[in-house]
Amino acid sequence: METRAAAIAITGGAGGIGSSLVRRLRTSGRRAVSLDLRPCPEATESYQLDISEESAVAMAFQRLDALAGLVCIAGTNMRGRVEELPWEDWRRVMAVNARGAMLAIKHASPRLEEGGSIVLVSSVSAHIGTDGYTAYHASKGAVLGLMRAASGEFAPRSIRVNAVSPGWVDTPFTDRALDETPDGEAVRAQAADAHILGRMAYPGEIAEAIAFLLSDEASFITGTELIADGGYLRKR
Amino acid sequence: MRGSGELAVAAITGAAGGIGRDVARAFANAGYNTALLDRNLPCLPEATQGISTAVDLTRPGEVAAAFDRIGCEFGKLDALVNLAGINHCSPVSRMDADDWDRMMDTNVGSMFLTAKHGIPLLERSVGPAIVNMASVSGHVASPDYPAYVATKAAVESFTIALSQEVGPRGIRVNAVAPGWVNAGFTDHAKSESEDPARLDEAARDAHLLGRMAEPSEVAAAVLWLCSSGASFVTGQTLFVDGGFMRKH
Ligand SMILES: NC(=O)c1ccc[n+]([C@@H]2O[C@H](COP(=O)([O-])OP(=O)(O)OC[C@H]3O[C@@H](n4cnc5c(N)ncnc54)[C@H](O)[C@@H]3O)[C@@H](O)[C@H]2O)c1
Ligand SMILES: NC(=O)c1ccc[n+]([C@@H]2O[C@H](COP(=O)([O-])OP(=O)(O)OC[C@H]3O[C@@H](n4cnc5c(N)ncnc54)[C@H](O)[C@@H]3O)[C@@H](O)[C@H]2O)c1
Repeated sequence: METRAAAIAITGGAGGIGSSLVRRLRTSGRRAVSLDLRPCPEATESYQLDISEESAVAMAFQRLDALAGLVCIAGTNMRGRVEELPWEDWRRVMAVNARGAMLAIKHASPRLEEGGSIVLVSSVSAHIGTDGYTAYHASKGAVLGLMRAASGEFAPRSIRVNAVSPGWVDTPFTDRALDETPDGEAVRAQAADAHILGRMAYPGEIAEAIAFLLSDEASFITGTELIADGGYLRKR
Repeated sequence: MRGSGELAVAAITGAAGGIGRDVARAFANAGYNTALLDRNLPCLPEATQGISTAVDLTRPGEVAAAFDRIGCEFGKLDALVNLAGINHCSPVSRMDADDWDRMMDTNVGSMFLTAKHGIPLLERSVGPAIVNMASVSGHVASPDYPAYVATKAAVESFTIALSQEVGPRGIRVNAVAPGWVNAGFTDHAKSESEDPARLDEAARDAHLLGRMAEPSEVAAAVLWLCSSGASFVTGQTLFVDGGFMRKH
C-alpha cells in the first residue's frame, strides 16, 4: 500500500486508536485525513465535525481529493441498564456508531478509488454482553451488518470492506468506561486477565490490523471481521 | 407447554404481520393469553383470551402505555416476542439518513423499548423468556439492503447483550433467524414483483431444503424458545433457515 498516493480518511482520527493509525500511515509516507469532534494535529488534514451529522460529513468529504481508503473509528458509549437508559441515549449511541459509519461510507463513496479499502471498527462487544451496555453492543452488531452489506455493494468497484474487532485497548475510551464503572479499578486490574495474552492491546496493534486490511496485501479479503483481541473471545 | 393451571401471558409485537399472526396463533394454542401489539390493530386468534393494542413501537410513550395496560390486565409477562420489523431498499451510497434511522428505530430500537417496559413484568414470571426476530440477512453481503442487514446483525448483538444483563434475574433472551418465510415480507416482495414465480424459484434455490419456511415453522421455534424445554438456552440465535446459511 506504500506505493499509493491517495489519502486515507479516518473518522475518530484524534482518538487513541485513530491517532495511532494516523502516525502509522504517515510514517509510511501516506496522507491521513482525520474527521473527528476534536482536532488531530498529526493528520495531513483535520476536520472537526460530528460524524452523525450528515451535512457536516458531506461538506468535509466534498473538500477531499481521491481516497485510497476510509477507516471508521469514531465511536461513543452510554452506560445504563435497559430499564434505566433513556431512549435519547440509545439513539445517540446508534447515531454515532452506526449511522456515523454509514454516512462516512456514503459520502466517501464518490471519492474512493477503484481497488480501495474500507475498514470499520467494530468490537468483540458485538459477540458478548456487559452489564449496562446494550446500546453499545447493539451498535457494534450494526457495524458488522453494515460492513457485510457494503462488501457486496462496493465489490463491483473492487473496493474491499472489512471490520476490525478489538478486545480491550489501552486508550482514553477504556479509561472513561472504567471511570464510570462502580468498581472500575478492580475491573482494570482484571482486564489483562480477560485476554489469553494476559494484557490489553496497545492502540498501535489495532492500527496494524487496520493498516493490513487497508493494504494490497489483503487484496482477497472482503466482507470479513478481523478479531484482534488477544484471545479475549476464547478466554473462559 | 407452560406449567399446568398457570396463567401464562405472551406479548407479541408485529402480531398483525404475516409471521406475527401465526406466532399469535401458536401461543394461543399453547394456552397463553396473548397481548398483541402492532401499529395496525392485530386480530386476536378466535376463541382465545387476550388484548390487542395499536401502538407505534418507535414511540417511547406509546410503548410505555401499552405495557402499563398489559401490567394492569395480567400483572405479569412470561414471554416477550419481538417480531415487528420493516425493510428498506437502498445502497449505502444513496441512503437517506432518515430512512436509516427509521430502520434502526423500528427493527432494533423497538426491542430496546419493549424490553425496557417488559422486563419489570417478566421479573414476576417463573421462567420468563424474550425472543427477538433476527434473520439470515444479518450475515450476508446484500448490496441493496444494507440498513436491513445492519439492523438484523444488531438484533443478534442486542440479544446477546440483553441475555447477559437479565440472565442473573432468570430471564432468558434468544433470537430466531429465518431464511425466507412464505408470508409478510415475501408476500410484499411478490406483490411488487413483475415475476412472482421467479421469486419462488429463487427461494427454492436459496435453501438446502429446497423451499421457504412456512410461518408456522418459525412460530414453532419461537414457542419452543419460550417453553420450559428451552430452560437452559440463552443468548443464542436459532437459525430456522432450511439450510440457507449452509447453501452455496
Ligand atoms: N478502547 C477500547 O477498548 C475499544 C475496544 C473495542 C472497540 N473500540 C472502538 O474503537 C473506536 C475508537 O476507540 P478509541 O479507543 O480510540 O477511543 P477514543 O475515545 O480514544 O477515540 C474515539 C474518537 O472518536 C471521536 N468521536 C466520538 N464521537 C464522535 C462523533 N460524534 N463525531 C466525530 N468524532 C467522534 C472522539 O473525539 C475520539 O477522538 C470506537 O469505535 C470504539 O468503540 C475501542
Ligand atoms: N417474511 C420473511 O421472509 C422474513 C424472513 C426473515 C425475517 N423476517 C422478519 O420477521 C418479522 C415479521 O415480518 P413479516 O414477514 O411477518 O412482515 P410483515 O410486514 O407482515 O410484519 C411486520 C409487522 O410489523 C409491524 N410494524 C412495523 N413497524 C412497526 C412499528 N413502528 N410499530 C408497530 N408495529 C410495526 C407491521 O405493521 C407488520 O404487521 C420482521 O422482523 C422481519 O424482518 C421476515
